[in-house]
Amino acid sequence: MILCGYNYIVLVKHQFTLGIRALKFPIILIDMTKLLEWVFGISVIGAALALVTFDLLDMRLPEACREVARPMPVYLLLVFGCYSLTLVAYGVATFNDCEEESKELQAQIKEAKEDMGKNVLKK
Amino acid sequence: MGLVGFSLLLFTYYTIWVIILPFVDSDHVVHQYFLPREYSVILPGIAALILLLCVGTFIGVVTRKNRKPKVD
Repeated sequence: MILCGYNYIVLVKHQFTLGIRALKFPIILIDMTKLLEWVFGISVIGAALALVTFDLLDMRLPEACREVARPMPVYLLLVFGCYSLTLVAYGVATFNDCEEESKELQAQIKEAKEDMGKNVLKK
Repeated sequence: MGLVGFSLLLFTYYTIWVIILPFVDSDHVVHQYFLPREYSVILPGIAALILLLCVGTFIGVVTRKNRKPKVD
């Protein structure tokens, strides 16, 4: 399959780009935007879910499969929420303090205050 | 770090509840650690409602507090 006209519109955040890259979407004759990719992916997943939940093709699936597919939308939402929460929490936890810059800034503030005091006196 | 652990724990528990339990025999010991399956949809729904309530209340309170007094 040939990749052509792969125009990117940066509509979504970095983590979403990562997810779609992993699926390696090959594209056809139109200019594939990120939005189109996402709509395509979501409609494929939605179609598969609807097929299993409502038994549209009259496949005689075991009862356990149908029981798994029923809470699937809620499950996907929760997984997405957990994933974002993990990323945010990890970023907050590994955020490092800049000790040296802080000290430098405090020294500069003190210097500025002294300078201001001196200027007032000279008048 | 506690938040990372909490979200991972929540993810594992919910995954086991939704995906793995239906394939486990109904007389296995592990079923007594999980609520009946209807709750696996109801509980996140209630949590989402509570979250929306909190967000809405917060927005309302902040808007009310920052409202400028009417100038005559």
